[in-house]
Amino acid sequence: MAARLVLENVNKYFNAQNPAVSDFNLEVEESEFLVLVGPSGCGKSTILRMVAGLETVSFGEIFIDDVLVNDVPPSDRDIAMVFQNYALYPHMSVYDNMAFGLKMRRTPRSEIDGRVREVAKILNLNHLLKRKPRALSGGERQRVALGRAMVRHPRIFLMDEPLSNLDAQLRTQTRAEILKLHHKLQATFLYVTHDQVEAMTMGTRIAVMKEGKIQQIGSPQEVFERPANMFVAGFIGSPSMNFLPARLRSSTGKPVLSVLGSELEILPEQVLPLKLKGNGEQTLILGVRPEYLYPVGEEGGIKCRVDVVEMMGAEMYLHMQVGKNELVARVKTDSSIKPGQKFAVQMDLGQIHLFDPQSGQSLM
Amino acid sequence: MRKSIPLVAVVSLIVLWSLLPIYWSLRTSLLPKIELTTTPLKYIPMPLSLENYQNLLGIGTRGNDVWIPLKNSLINSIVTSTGTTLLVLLLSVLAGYAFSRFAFKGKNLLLGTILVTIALPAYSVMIPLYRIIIRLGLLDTWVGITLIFTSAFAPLGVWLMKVAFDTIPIELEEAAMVDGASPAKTLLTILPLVVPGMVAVATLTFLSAWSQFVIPLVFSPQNASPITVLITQFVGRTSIDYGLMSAAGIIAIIPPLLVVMFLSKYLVDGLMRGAIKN
Repeated sequence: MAARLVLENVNKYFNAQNPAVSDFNLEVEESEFLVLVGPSGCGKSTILRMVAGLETVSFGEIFIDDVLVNDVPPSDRDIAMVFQNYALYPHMSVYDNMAFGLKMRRTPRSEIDGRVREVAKILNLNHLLKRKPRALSGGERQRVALGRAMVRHPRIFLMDEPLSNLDAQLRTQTRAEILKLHHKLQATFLYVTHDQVEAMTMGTRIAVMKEGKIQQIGSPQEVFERPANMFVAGFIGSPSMNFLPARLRSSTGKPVLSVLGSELEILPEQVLPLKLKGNGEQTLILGVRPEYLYPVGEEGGIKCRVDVVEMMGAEMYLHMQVGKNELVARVKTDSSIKPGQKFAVQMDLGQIHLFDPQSGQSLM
Repeated sequence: MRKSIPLVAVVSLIVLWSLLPIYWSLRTSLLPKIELTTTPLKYIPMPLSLENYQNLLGIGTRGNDVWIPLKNSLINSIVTSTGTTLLVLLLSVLAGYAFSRFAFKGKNLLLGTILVTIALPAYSVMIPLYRIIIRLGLLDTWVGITLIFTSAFAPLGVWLMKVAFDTIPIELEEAAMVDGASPAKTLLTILPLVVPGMVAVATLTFLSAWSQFVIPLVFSPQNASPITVLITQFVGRTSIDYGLMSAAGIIAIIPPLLVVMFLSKYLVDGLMRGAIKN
């Protein structure tokens, strides 16, 4: 049942100056759970709406199972969509909301009934079938919205920030439910979110977007461990990666990074792709994630002053000041650390990232 | 509580202002003819007389003299007002939906033009309209009057329905489209949500059409003349029959009153609650 979705050089112009989506290429394999993630206004919802057929494609082509669907109306694409605000019909009961799509497709009444009850059972909505949406809680409405998509057995599920209206606890719970659902149905999912945690935890692959363009596509691990540029590096992971100005030079064959007054010797392999300009220095941006920064006492690293301590339970986030730069470290909770305290931090040199200061592209 | 005393006073004043003329009509309609001119003025209809109503309904001394024209004019009023209401509803729903949801060239200009016609006084188009209606052979017909009324009241209806559709989240229609509904079925799906708007349009249109006087006076003076025009004709060569006029006026109030009472039940709010999470 699952379908393969291909977008080729898709462009969307709402006005002539700024494309909302430009030269977008994406292949979603059968049964894949692909997450489009990016800040608001990056064009991810526009992509989803173009796949659904709710938005026209300015240029480019969209294929579902190798069939060009640019001009196919939404009703004939055999897709189901879950909207951010659920979009339940307020005057219809839960049952009728779920049966709507099947009725539109002239499915026999007995089959509709069977499918609605089956899905209601999976989603634990049995006892709510006769209620109107206004008598449901947020989580229940969300499940009805999911159910309405599921009864159709569509080839592709499109989900537009389906969890963003739920509170934190319910969100975690529903996240797991959607994953189970994906596992069970083995359908193709295209899922849009601005929440990198959702993207990381749910996606088979994730596509990080910015200003209508894909920045990087890959498995959550790939994107996290080998971000293609500073945007991806900063967007994925929480708290965000630290970026520091650095200079790289070669000293007797060994590459040395000087960062905020500290000299760090790094392995030659790490800078292998970099073309060091002779003996000259090269300006770079060093990126290091908060979890790879360690406070080491008063000497022997980058000297910082703690500004803010964010208590997270087992861990805490230290917001530190180094000259004009800010550094965030993620450390085990230690009640002796107080704001205003000064100490030195070291970083795990095996976990650093180097970026081109002009283009922001990763140099590793 | 103290704050509400001036409020109650103002509301009472408004209610009196609206109801007194109706009471005066009722009082006049229920007094025997001779009592109308006695002094001092009678504020309460005593002795009560149903003579005017009997005459109007063809069971009094005047036989079917008044009943037949009254019956015909009532039918005319009901047919033209109902016809106008249905036609305006149909146009308003379709055009309002289009203005609310579709992007097309010249949309704002078109909407603006339609709105301007609301402000246009009927008198300014009377003469050209008269020529058009004569040319179409629709003078003094139900169809003619209904078309004129529709052209006059549809703009407001279109505007009200556009606003009503604007308040419906577009995702509901998108969900319907993705679920396989045709454009017409999509509109039908969300139609129950704009019922309050439709009731408002229907009520306004029916009441406006019912109370028209000048247009039917000019365009349907005889066969299709409504009750509003008939009432003014209870004028004899030597006298004006105030009692009969008042009684006919009271009868003319009844149908629109019923319409308002019936339709207001559907002017429910809260229908939208639960559609989306805000």
